[in-house]
Formats: sequence, C-alpha cells, structure tokens
Amino acid sequence: MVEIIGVWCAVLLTLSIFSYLYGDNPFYKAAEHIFVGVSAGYIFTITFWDTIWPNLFGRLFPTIVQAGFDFDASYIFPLILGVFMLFRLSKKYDWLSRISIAYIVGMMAGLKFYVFLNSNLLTQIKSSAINLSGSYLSIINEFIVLVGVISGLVYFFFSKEHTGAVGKVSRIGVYFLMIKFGASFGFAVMGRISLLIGRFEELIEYSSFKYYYSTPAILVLMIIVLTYWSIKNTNINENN
Amino acid sequence: MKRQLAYFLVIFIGFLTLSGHFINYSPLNNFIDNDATQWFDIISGFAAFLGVVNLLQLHLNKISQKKDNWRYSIITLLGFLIMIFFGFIYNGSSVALGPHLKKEGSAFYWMFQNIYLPLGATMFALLAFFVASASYRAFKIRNFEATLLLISGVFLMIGRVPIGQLIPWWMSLEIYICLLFALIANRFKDKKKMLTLLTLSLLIFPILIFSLNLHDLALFKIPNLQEWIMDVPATAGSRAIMIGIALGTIAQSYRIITGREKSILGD
Amino acid sequence: MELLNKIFIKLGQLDRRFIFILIGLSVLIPLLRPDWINIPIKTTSNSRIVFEELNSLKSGDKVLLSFEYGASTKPEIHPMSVAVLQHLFSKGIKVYTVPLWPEGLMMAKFAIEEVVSSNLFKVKEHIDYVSLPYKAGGEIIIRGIATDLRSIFTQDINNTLLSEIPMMNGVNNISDFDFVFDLSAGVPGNAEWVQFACDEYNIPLSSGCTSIMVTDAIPYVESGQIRGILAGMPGAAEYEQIVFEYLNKNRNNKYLNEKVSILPGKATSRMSAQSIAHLLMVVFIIFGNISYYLTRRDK
Repeated sequence: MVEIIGVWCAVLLTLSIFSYLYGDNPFYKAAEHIFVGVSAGYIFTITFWDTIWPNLFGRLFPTIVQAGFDFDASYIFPLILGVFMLFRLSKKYDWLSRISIAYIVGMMAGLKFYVFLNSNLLTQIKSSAINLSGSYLSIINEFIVLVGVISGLVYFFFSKEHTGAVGKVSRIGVYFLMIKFGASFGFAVMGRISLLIGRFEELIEYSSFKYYYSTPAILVLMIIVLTYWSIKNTNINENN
Repeated sequence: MKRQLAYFLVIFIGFLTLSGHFINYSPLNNFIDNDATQWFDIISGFAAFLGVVNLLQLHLNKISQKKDNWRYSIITLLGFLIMIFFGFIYNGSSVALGPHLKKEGSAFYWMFQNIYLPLGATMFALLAFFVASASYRAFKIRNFEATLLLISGVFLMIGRVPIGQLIPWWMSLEIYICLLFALIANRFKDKKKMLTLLTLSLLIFPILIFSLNLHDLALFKIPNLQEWIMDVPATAGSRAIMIGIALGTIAQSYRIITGREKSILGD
Repeated sequence: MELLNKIFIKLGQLDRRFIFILIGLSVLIPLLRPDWINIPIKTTSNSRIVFEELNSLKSGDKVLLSFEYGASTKPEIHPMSVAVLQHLFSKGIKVYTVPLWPEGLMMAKFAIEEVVSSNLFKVKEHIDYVSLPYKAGGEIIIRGIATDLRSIFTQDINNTLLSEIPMMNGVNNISDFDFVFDLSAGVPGNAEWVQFACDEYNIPLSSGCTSIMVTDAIPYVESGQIRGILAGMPGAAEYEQIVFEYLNKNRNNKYLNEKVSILPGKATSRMSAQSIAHLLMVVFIIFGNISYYLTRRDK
C-alpha cells in the first residue's frame, strides 16, 4: 500500500512539473515549492548525520558519538568557525562569518594554485605538442589542435587590440571555439532528451494495472482541474 | 581590525596550504593533509546549514509580509519540516537514527524516493522541450561562425546516436556539398548560377566518388566525422578555454594568497 | 513555389506548444513501441578504451567508484553505474563506493542494490564491496581521500567501523587503489578527481559523465589524464552492450551465478527514442533556417 501511495505521489509530482508546458499554474508552483523545501531538508539532514555528527561530534564527544575517532580538543576550532559561519545572517555580527569564509577561501586558493598549474596548465600544454614520430594523419590532427589552442588563447588575450595579424589569428581561434560550442550544444540537447526519456519511461511503467493506472488517472484528473482553473481565471479577468 | 583579522587568516591559510606542496616537513604535511582538510569539511557542512537557514528565512519573510504567492512558501516550509521530522525524530525502519536515512522502509528514504527523486528529475527533463523550441527559433545561419556552430552541433546530434550509422555514404556526401555551398553562398552574386552549380555537384560528385572507389572512406560515415570533430577541433577549443581558465585561476589564487584581492570575503 | 514559401514562413511562426507536442511524441512513441525502430548500437573509441582499461584489472584489485550525480541526471548516469559495477563484479574486483554529492549517496545505494539483487554475481557486502558515507567538502574530500582516507571515513553507510571490514585492510589513501572510476554530473566531478588526486598520485582514472560535461572534459581525455569517457545515455548504452557481450562470453566465469540469466541494460532500449528525438531536432533546425532565409529574403 505504501508503495502504491509512493507511486501516485511520484506521478502527481512529475505531471505537475510537466504541466508548466501548458503555462504557469498552481500544480507547477506547488510542486516547485515542495522541491525547494524537501531538498533543503534532505541536504540538512544528510550533512548533519554523515559529516557533522561523526566527524565533528565524534571527535569532541567520542563516548557519546562512537564514530571510531579519538578525542581531539583541536576540533573546537572548526566548531567555532562553523558557528561563526551562521552569523552571516546577523547584521551586527556578520563580521564573524568573514573569519570562516577566510579559512575556506584561503585553503581553496592555496590548493587551486597548485592543481590548476599542474593539471590544467602544464599537462595541457605538454599534451598539445606534436609527436613527429606518429603517422601522417596523427601529425595533421595534432597540428590542427596546436593551431586551435594557440589561436584560441590569442582570442582570450585582451591586452593587445585584435587588429592585423593578431586579429586574423584570433579569428581562427573563434572558429575553433564555435565548433566547441556547437558540440556543447549538441551534447546539451542529447542530455536533456535523455532525461526526458527517463521520466517518460517511469510514467509508462506506472500506467500499468499493477499501479492502478496511476499515470492516466492523474493525467485526466489534472486536465479537468486545469481546465476548470483556466476557465475560472478567464472569467475573473473578464470581470475585472 | 575585524577585517584585518580575516585577511590575515586568508593569507596565512593560503600560504600554509600551498607550502604543503613544496616543503617536506611531516608535522606541516600532516596538519594540511588531515586536520586542515577535516576542518574545511566541517565548516563546509555549516556552510550548507547556512544556505538552508537563509532559504527558510526568505520564505518566512515572504509569509510574514504576505508577499506575492506567499501561500506557496508555507508548502516549502512544510516540505522542509517533514524532512527534518523524518530525519531526526521519526524513523520508521529497524536501524538506528543516522543510518536510517539510507535504509529502505524508513520514512526519510520513502520521501527521497517518491517526492525528491521525481521532482528533481522532472525539473531538468522539462528543459528538453525548451531546448527544442529555442533551437527552432534561435539556431540560425547568420554568419560563418554561426554556421560552424550549427554544423558541429548537428553532426554531433546525429553521429552520437545509433541512427547516425544508417546514413549511407552518398547522403553524407550530399550533406557535405550542401554545407559547403551554404558556407560560400555569399560569394555568388548570381543565385541561378549557384543553384546550377549546386545541382551539378550533387549529381556528379557521388558518381565520381563511387567510380574512384572512395565511398568507403571514414569521412563519409557521420559517426566517424563526429568523433573527429570531438577529438580534434572541439578539443582544441576546449583546451584553449581550459588553459585560459587555469591562467585566470592561478592569477586569482595568487592575488588571494598575497592579500591583493579584496572582494572575496563578501564585502 | 509561392505556396511552399508561405508554408515555410508560417512554420517559422509556429506556436511553441506544437513543438512541445512533437518532441513529446518523438520520445513517447519509440518507448511505447520499441519494436518499430530497432537500430544496432555502434561503440565509440572512448567507450572501448574505458572497457579495456577496466578489463585489464585483475581479480582482487581495488576500484574506487565515485558517485557525483543525483536525481536530475539519474537517467544518463545510472545505467553506466550499473554496467560498470556488473563489469567489475564479474572480474572479482573489490569495489569501494564514495558519494561526493548528498544525492550520490542514494544513487550509489540504488546501483549496488540493483546489481546485487539480480543475483547474477556472487558478491557479499564488506567482502566484495563497501559503501562509504557522504561527506561535505567537495574537492577537499577528494584531496583527503588522496592523502589520508581514514581521517575522514571511519564508518561505512550502516555505521559499521571500517576497522571491522575485511576489505578495508590496508586501504588508507588513494595509492592503495588500483583504479578510480568517476560517475559525475558536475562539480565536484571528473575534473576535480584529475586535479586533486589522480594526476598527483598517478592513479589511473576513467569517467562516465553527463553529455553536457563531455566537451569540458575532453582535453583531459585526449591528454590521457582521463582514460576514455562514457558520454551521457548513448555512452551508457554502448558500455551496457560491451558488458552484455562480455558477460555472455564469460558465462562460465567463477564469479557469475550460472542459474541466473543475463539481461541487457536499460539504456540500450532507450536509444531508439533518443535517435528519433535527435532527428526531429535536426529537422526543426533545418525548417527554422529555411523559414529564416525566406523571411529575410522577403524583407
């Protein structure tokens, strides 16, 4: 029984979101607001039980929270910094939150400096080199990649005006970027269609007798309510 | 003073973390790899709480001031409270609070599976319709750059799915010829001449290619062409962007660590 | 000719709800009638590289499977998770799942449950696979796994202490794993695995990701920092097919239950719907452009 109620809820919410295709309506608005509330609750609960409870309280109160950690007094610092973070919402004490943000930003900057230098800059430059011992085809391809990378970077170089030779090279760079964006667009379409397929497949599955024809039943019900709602709305607008 | 304290911490932590990569001193490396990392995770957890509390505050304000659609904010709050209730008070499964989140049969698990999952999935699936409508209206051959964008997008869409391999060589060839003419169309002053040339090319080239026995070339298979686009020109474009972003990130990190960047602490 | 022009111009001003209906039908009909359109799947070189990389692992090797996707991208990534798990279990490889997204926790659980409940593989929790819980912190968690996993994780998702789990013996940081496979839909995702762990510690990494991420990740793939990539639902379908063929070929493998039949995966059946929808999109783009050309000429 609980499973059937779950399926009916899932179908109702799915169709409520799809009802936006007809236009903004109370079904969509309600579903959207439920999503915001439930996801906030989900993130709060999971973060507490999986991170804060074992990793912080497990170290501060190891006898109560037995997460496998030993007592470590230094963990009072992240607790204080964490609580400071919440002061962001207070007008008077929001300067305290800056200390916590400072920790996050400082650490991220220190780490990113190195990893971007290593993985995204040096390795990428290294792999743009042409291997002359390869086949003709691979040499041509590697040459095209090298030309694309250099001209693309010239396009991003704003310290010099894009005229003359620089302008021409940066124009070639734009062509490569356009091909990249075109591919991104194609992939974006592909992704969205895949997600739609996933939803439709589930709706089809829930149309069976096993789930008491939940999809067609809710669909019909929703169409009736939406028709009534839009007629009522038109009448109100006309009266006004 | 309050501000100085925060900047001092940014510089101190930034240098400390960076030095871990270059200095081999085990207490320092241990601190950075274990405790400093752990502290970060815990503070991140609180940052997530901050986001949630901020959201609730927003909706509570909406309700108390009876702004537009304030009634829906009640639904948001209810959704949140139900999840909290099932997460911290009511369990419903045989295991203890905490692991119950991932246990089939608990009320929290039920909420995830039947409320959160369909909503999250459908929100993004809805975009399929809008992407379709947008590409119908906006994806136009306005200039050479737009044409490249369109060609790359279309080949990818066709080449990535099984239907792409059903396209025969001659049809690929005709598509290439049409695209070539679309690219050079502006150079022709006499449109009639262009049309005649196009028709002739469409007729002659397939015969020529077939008689030269070149129709088995990988070029005439759209999935292969699509793979080449991804591996060569699209990689070049992506790599240029990646290197550009890396240079930007490194410069920004340097500015942060040396205290030159003043906008990062939410001022 | 004039009439044709008019039709095309009119098509350009089509109500968008009409487009919505067409897109909906192009997906719905192939799903309802899969036997109408049945096109064989051709594998791309990147999917084959992923397979070969994972296939070169030996029984008893340790693979870290990272889950960074959620409800919104489940249809694209989940079939990959299942196919990769099937492949790894069929070779007797130890699997360690770790979610870096709050939702990834549930996704990992769903994927493991789906594969284990099929009874095709002789696997047991804590001997062949272990599920680690979610920790907030994103890329810093990756960094933590790389340097000292035990300072972050002390329990699995059911609160069993890692010290009591046999397959966790000797697993302390990223260097103790033989391979990392990342299932990602955003940040943190495969880029962060490259940057914060696998490049520095020289651990092989492959990834399955959403379609949208592919063009951003492709430079890593071409440079060998990521070894092969499964791209979106078509990538998942390709991998499913390769694994399906592999399982059928290795039917008498000691890690497989002989009595249970091998079923093809979910993404494969969805490919005809994907094909038709893509075709329709291309038709939309062509019609849109003809109409644009005609309107511009008339002006």
